[in-house]
Amino acid sequence: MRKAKKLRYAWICAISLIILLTWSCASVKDAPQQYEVNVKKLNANEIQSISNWPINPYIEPGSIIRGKIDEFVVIRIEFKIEREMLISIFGDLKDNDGKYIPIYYSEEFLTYWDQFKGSNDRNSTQNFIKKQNLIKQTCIPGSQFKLRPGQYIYYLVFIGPYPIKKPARGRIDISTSFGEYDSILIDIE
Amino acid sequence: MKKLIVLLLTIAMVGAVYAEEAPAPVLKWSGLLNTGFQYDNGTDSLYLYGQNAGKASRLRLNADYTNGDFGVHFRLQTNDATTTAFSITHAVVWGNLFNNMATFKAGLLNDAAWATPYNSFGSLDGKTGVQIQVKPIKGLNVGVFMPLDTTKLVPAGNVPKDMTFAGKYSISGIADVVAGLNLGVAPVTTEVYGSVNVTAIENLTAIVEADLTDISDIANTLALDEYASYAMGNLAVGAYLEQVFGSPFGWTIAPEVSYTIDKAEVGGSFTIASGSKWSIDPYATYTLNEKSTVKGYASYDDTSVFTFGVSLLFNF
Repeated sequence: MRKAKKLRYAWICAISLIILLTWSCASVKDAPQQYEVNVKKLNANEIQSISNWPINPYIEPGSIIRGKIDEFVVIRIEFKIEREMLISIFGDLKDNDGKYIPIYYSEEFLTYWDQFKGSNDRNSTQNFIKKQNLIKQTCIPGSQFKLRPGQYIYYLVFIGPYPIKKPARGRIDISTSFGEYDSILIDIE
Repeated sequence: MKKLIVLLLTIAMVGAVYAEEAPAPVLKWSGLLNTGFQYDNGTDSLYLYGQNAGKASRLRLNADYTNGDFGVHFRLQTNDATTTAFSITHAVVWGNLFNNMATFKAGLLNDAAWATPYNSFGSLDGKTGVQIQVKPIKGLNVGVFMPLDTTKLVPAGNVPKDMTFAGKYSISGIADVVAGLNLGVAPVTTEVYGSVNVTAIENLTAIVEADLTDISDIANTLALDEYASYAMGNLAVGAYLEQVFGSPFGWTIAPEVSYTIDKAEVGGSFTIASGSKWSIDPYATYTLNEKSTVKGYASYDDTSVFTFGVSLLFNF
């Protein structure tokens, strides 16, 4: 009798534990995902599709005589955010000689384009303003920035003297104020 | 708490890995040639014409030396490339201080940090003096410009009174706001200017600018400018408007449309202004090599003057 009682208690405990574990796992699965990130290095066609040519800041400036002066590596980063959070982005890209290729966040990227303002006629001025606004709207604003709930597409730009010696390798590390962490390898052949 | 520790550790580790390597000093050369030709039936002649330099060709040579947070920028320019009459239009020493919290520029400046985007009110391009920019928080850039009057039009004792105080605040995802006050000592006039450039909506450009000159004078002039454009794929429609509250009152309305196909853009505007003035201005541009363009344009106005031309802009 006493043995049977013990067995019953053991069964109750085991079943309770299973229920508890199941509920625990289920609750993790059902918890709203706070953050999702997709990272992709863009090819030339994808870069051109960002915007019309005259206002697209992600196409390298060039010159008739010297051709391309710098080379851009453009990374598309898509965020899906459920709760307001702080995002930290760090990148490290080195060419085949181990030379560091820096990131140009929004402010540096605007300064970069300032030197190519070019003509002062009305049409050129308007296109330049549109190019600047597109940078403000789509370029990664800084190494740390806050995002409210929603879906966002940003571009991260590395700029090196043309041509960047291939293969260039590096990675992008993205972390959030909620502890999520992603490290994405970049391999440019 | 645990998550905060994880985040701090992550930042610390990543920060250590990415402690920026000091970039090597860089000397960059660049330049621009703007030339072309134009015909008008008013003079019935075909002449050399650059859209930036009038009846001439502009040639520009730039040198930029950057060593970490300090640098030098020089520009030699001629507005008549058929001569060797070059002049120095920029000669700037600059530096970023306190982890880029402040920037100084001294010399013949090239700065437009506090300028309005459309009409460049408040631009320091070509002005001689010292500029201090302070960036206390992200997006805010405020400071002062003290001119050094090389033309001696302003007595030396009055130079400090001729300072400009200005700033720009970029509110991420909303708008850029610019405001400035040029104290002005005769013959320089006192000027207040400002602008709002809306960045909240993708594909929409919306700018309002104001410039009030001669504040202390009863005959002051207030210019208000508005520009808006909306892109729907390859098609963009917009309008530029201006009102000048002075003597006399003036106004301009210029609706515009443009269509982009790959590297080509065709467009035009119809401008109507006070005094029964009007003009029709179609154009087509083709991007040869990213920043080098060929532009064909024409214009017909209320005085029956027909103009057409080709403008070439080469960056090298």
